[in-house]
Amino acid sequence: MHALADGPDDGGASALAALQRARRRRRLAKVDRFDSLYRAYLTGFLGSLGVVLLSNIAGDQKASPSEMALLLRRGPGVLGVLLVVCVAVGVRSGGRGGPLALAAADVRHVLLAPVDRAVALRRPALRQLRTGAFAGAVAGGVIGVNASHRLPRLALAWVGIGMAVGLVTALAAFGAALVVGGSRVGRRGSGLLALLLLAWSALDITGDLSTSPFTLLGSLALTPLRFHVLDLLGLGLLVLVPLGMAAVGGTSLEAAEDRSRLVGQMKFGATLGDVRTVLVLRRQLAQEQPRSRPWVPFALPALRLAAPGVSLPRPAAGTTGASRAGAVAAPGLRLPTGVVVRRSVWGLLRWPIGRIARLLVLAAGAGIAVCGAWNGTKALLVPAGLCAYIAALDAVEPMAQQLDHPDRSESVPRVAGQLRVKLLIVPVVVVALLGLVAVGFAIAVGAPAGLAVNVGVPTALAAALMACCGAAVSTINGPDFSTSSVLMSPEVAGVKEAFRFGFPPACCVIGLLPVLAGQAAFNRGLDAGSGTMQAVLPIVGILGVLIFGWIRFREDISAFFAEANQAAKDTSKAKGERTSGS
Amino acid sequence: MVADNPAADAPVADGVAAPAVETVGLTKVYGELVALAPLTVQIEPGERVVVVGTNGSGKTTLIRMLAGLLEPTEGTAAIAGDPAGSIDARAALSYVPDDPVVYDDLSLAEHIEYVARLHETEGWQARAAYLLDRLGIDHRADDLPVRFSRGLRQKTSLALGLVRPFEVLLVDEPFVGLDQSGKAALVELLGEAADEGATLVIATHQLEFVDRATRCIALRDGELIYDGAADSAKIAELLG
Repeated sequence: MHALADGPDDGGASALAALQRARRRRRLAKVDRFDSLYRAYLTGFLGSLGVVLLSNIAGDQKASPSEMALLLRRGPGVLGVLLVVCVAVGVRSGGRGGPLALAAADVRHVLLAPVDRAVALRRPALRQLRTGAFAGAVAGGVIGVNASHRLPRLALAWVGIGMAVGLVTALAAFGAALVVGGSRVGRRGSGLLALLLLAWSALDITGDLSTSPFTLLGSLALTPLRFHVLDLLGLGLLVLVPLGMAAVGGTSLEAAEDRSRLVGQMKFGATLGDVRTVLVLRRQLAQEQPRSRPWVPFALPALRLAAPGVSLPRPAAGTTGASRAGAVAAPGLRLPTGVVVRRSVWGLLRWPIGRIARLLVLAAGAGIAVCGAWNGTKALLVPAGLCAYIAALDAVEPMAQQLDHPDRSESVPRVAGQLRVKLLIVPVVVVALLGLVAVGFAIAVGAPAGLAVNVGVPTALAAALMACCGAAVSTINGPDFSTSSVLMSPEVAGVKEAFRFGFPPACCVIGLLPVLAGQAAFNRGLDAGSGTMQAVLPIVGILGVLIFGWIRFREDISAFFAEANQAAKDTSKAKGERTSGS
Repeated sequence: MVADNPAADAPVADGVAAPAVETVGLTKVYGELVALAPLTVQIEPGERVVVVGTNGSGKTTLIRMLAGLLEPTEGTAAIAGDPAGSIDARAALSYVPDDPVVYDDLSLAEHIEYVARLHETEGWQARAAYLLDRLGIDHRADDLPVRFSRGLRQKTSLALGLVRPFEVLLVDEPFVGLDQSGKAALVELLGEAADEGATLVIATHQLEFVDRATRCIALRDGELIYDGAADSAKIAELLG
């Protein structure tokens, strides 16, 4: 404190620096070197393993001359759209007060102090920028390795250019977020800006132009094949970083406080593997709220309210509420489907535009990825499955709402499993419709329409069902608070955790496997549609039914095993007593 | 929830209804903390019972165990002769929690219809309109309760609890967050429910409702300290 008091009069900057140095010293003093080395080793090992695995997903099938020609003509534009999507995400984050995630104490003590906020925020911004840049470079490198498997020229060249483009994209996305967040553009403004950027890149594709900086950056990514000096203009996007650092002082304090709270909870939820909590908090972070009014006034509640200023008389006794006291019986065991479907549709009709747009983007991504899988890169079914999984997590919202509010569920005189299953009817239909949208996108990127429909439609139905199964399993399971893992060996606990995390998305990938069956039939000169259906039936008929059975009878299954366990314990105890008695 | 429930399985004499609420040695323990010491009480149909006690006395623990939301450490609870938490008990019991629970994606009217129809409530529209009118939230029927203030969410929660059929109404801290007109309307609605034969069990640390009850159960540090006539002066003295 003495050092702080004696610091120069620079608006608190030196005091802030001294505070940050002191905190850093204290943090480092607490670090156990061996523990840090072990964690670095684990991170390095797992990271390398991930990079090696991801680097080989494309397979070794070299691109044909026609594919090369298509890549050179359309590649810059398509890559430009992918890059602009990354930057648009940054712009949207800035519009919601991002991208900084500060400690709550920093918001309260530092940002409320009479210190220049630009100075106070620059250091955390740089820290996040560093992490983002590293992630961007690694992702670009991985894509570069994959590109080298299918394209000519040195692998090193593809890795190098991939890392460079990934780095520039990450920096541009973060810089754009800082500029938008610091200049308080707001949600609508940022959404419009993101749309404009996307539209600019889309225009470049349709007109075979290179006017957007993102198209130029996409073209730069193809440098190992051919080099255009003008492509270097794409690097101009880096100017967003200094602009963002200059604007960071304008970050909204309200948004910073909200984000500090939500990001901390999100990290905790992610640590527990609680996908539902992370999803809900992410929505809060994105200020994604249900619409006040439904998109269409469909099946609205049949309430007959009083006219303003008119008091309603008390309803006659003997109809409902307490007036049925003494005559209440549990309703029939069969849950009426209509009310559950109506409830799901009400929720659906209040989806905000952002969620609908996200689902359409996911459908597009899944459609294009499945196309890629059909064309030879089978591993693209994994990202396609992940798209379906994320979409299904949004779609199963009615069931998730029921699970989020156990007080409400417990007051309903219904079998919980029945309610859960019926709340999945509308989500399966929604994801199936998104699957049809994905088929449309596949046709748009060049898949023959007849073939896409024959293979795509049955696959979309199977994928919808399996994606909803996966999302429902993940949502129902929730976080694992059990202490049983503590008693397990790391290998067993690791496998258990991997299964818990991996099973739901794996369901979604399994739902897409009929595409490969269709492809195999097609390659043998058989009907692709029939081949697809042959795979759909066992997937839906066996795995789907099993999972739906688990969702419906979960409590009964648990009770059965608990009873069996107790019976085994009692038998063992009785046997022990007999042995000791004799 | 409670499989072997002596309270629920107790023989009932011909023509005599089972107690509205019955607990036998109902206990809840968290580690070394006894949230509710073994409690045995019987509440007859039509009784108006107020459960009072200071903060941390075990009121909410008792109410949540009766609603089937908390599993007892020991003992049993039954609602209208059925184990607490069973489907039949859930049909007979309407529970209004102290913390209003609403769905994020449904309007007030949609909440009402969903809950009413899940309970196969006949003529729910008229009942719902009356309740919303009395609670002064009819003009908000098309709005999302998740965006309401604490008081309006409490009114929503009360409307949801009262719109469906019930034999026993279990309300935890009903007056918290309500304005004066809301409190008055609630007291009247509770009175109407009792007049129609429902059993009321109301947990509160405020003594406003005590004199309207027929019986009072007082708890302190999880122990039953009083079970008798509802006399607010006496209760105030007991609770200090």
